[in-house]
Amino acid sequence: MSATRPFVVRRKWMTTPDVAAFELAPADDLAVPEIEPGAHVEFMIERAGQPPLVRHYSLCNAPGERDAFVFGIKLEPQSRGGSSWIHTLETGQTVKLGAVRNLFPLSQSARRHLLLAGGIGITPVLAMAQALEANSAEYQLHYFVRGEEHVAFRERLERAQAQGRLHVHTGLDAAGVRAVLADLLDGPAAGEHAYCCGPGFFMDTVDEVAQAKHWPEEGLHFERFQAAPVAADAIDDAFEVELSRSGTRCRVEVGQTIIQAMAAAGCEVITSCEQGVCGTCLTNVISGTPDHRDAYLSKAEREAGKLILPCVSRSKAPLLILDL
Amino acid sequence: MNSPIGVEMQSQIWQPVLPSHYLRASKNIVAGFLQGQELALWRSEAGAVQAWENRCPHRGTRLTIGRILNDQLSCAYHGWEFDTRGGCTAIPANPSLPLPKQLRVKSFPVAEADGMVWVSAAAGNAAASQALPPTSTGALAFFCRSLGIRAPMGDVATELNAQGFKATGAQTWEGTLAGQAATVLLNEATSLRTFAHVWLSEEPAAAALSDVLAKCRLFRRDVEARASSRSS
Amino acid sequence: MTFQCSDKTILDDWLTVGPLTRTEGKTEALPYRTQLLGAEVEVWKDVGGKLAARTGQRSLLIQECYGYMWICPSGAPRKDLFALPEYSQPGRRIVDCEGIGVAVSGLRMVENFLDMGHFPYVHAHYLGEVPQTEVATYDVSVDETADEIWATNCRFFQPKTSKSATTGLDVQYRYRVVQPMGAVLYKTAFPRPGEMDAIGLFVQPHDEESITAYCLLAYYDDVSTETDLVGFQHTIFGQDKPILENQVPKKMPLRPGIEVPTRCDAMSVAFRRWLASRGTTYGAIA
Repeated sequence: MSATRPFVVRRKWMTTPDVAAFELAPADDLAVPEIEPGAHVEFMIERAGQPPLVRHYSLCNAPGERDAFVFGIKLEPQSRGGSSWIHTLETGQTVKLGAVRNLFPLSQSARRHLLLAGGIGITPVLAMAQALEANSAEYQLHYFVRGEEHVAFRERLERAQAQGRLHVHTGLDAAGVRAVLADLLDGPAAGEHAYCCGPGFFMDTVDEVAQAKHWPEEGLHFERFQAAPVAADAIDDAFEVELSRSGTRCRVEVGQTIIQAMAAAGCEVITSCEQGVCGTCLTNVISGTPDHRDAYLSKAEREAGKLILPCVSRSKAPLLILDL
Repeated sequence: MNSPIGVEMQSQIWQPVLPSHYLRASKNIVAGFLQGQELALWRSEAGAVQAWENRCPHRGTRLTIGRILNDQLSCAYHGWEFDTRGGCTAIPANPSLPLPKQLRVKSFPVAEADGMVWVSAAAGNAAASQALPPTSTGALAFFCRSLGIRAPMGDVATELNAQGFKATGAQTWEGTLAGQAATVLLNEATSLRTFAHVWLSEEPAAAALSDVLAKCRLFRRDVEARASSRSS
Repeated sequence: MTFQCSDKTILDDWLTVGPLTRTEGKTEALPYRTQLLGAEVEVWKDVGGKLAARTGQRSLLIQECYGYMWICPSGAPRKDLFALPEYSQPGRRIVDCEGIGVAVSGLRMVENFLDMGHFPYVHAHYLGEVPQTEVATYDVSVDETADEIWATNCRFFQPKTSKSATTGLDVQYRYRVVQPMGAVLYKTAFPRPGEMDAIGLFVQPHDEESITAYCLLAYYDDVSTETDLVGFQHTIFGQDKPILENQVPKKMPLRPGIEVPTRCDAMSVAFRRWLASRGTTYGAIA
């Protein structure tokens, strides 16, 4: 784990009804590094009675703003625990921050910047807008929110607003968003790059529209906050199992376990718990990709894919060859 | 296994573990011992005696501290239930998961004869189970008591022999105690412990019974003294 | 005396010999005597108030932490003593419940502490109630850096959550194995929604088949008396004791097949696999 630095909550306020904004100052009074727009910082969340979590939050700092980190966090009802902890964080409390990294930088070669923010995606985009403003660069910021009250960090957007570069789109449904984007992404100007951050479906829409409008790929930048969604493939498929030593092949139907299919084919394997917990039926995998459904193998064993518990686990590929 | 004075005492496949009346149908679980194997014995509602390894297959908890519920034995630790065939019929922590078919307690063959529960050490051993279980002879009429003796079975046999008893059958010795016709059935609990179940052929008068009981205590004292003096 | 133990994972670990209070009034001439890994150990506070320990003539590495005394039998600890931030968290009440003796392997004691399936049976009316016996699926993860195991997202129905409660509630639990001989349990702190009470189990292995199980509470509870809190813990441990002492064999079998787990035993399975993979054999049958 990388080294962490303690920071103190200098200020906390609600910038919208469900976004908490924070200013975190270093506990050692040294300056924070110059922050590139688009950068995020690592949070180490240590909570009583739980394994520590690491979360990344985008920074809203303007150029030269080096006395504290500034960011906003939306309270997500389905969060994995990271954001709810943050909301109980109060002024004066200390947090541990790790590295600052930038996976969403402004392109050096771009001469025009189209900034697209959906909801809480404003945080890195705002840093970009402030930086571009300070450099008098050509940019437009389009901010998609549910309603006016959900515009975060309004005070930091004043300059952009005054310059006519801020466009707030409120209360649009999916079709409405798509129509606005279709207009914005209709043929990039020379040297124009687009930067997008927001909820997954928002970014997917931008991606689709940009592709449909033949926006060049190298001119399109996304900052995806969430991990890729879990594929909705919980539907089981039938597959074939081959037993390498006997050469027997059998088909494992939906609703049938590998053990049951093998038994029907005349190959008995000793089982015990039949719930994927005891390890009795542990079998070597010669080839194929196991779909692990057990509660016995370690993370490393699962990833290596060389072992399987056939009383509960299945196969991701059509053919699984076992050492039996 | 030979005793010092040459009396052969071979442990039989079938051993008398408990008096039958110790087990009340669907009520209690009693501990038994068979050549070092701990047993949990109970009687079903239908009257059949179950003799199981005294160890739940889940986490090794002794079944004797469990209880009988609806004609099943429920383990004290997690409430797992086993029916009269020894199969697991309930895992309360996972009510919606199918029960593992292989999950069962190890059980031993049981027979009842002459007011005693006999258990076979064979436990599924095909050749050994050919030995026939004992059948009632009608000779045992009055149950006197069971004696737990801290001595190997050979020593007990030697002492019985010395007291004029004769081996007449599987684990069975006949003779007299304080003038009463008696049958002593031996259960080799472990290599160092023996249970002697003492029966009389008819119910004695109170004073005579008292004498028999005193004789039993003296018998045990003598056997244990001899066994411990040999081992010290 | 030498320790009757060849298990390096245990010899290099920090083992408790009880709470600090056991050295009150003890001196080098009249030390607190206790048994650890089959050897007699003497512990006292020197004139400067510092803890000292020896077995026979050999002095032992000892430290105090969380109000308890910890000895590293080999003198070369494999790592620092586990972290217990709850001990010094403001607002928490720290109550030492001392220990009870149990004639079983320390590993079985820890495994019992991690188990919820027995609540409606062994701790009926206290921590669980038939027929609410289901143990919902929970998550198990291994913290490889700290060499600890966690069970998270656990919950179980508790019939009475306090002396005055009239209905039951689903209680949240988290379990953390910090050593082969130590674990911490976290459960919903009813006076403080969102917070969890912490209960530490520290096992002193006298030998492979007998232990003293100590219990330390770090609670958010300003209402219950200390007598009630300690009494409750002793009631719970006192209910576990006859079960543990009736497990056969006393040492924990690590080879699969002898004892059959089911889905709700995921944490116990992870615990046994963890022990086997790190080579822990003391109190176990490999």
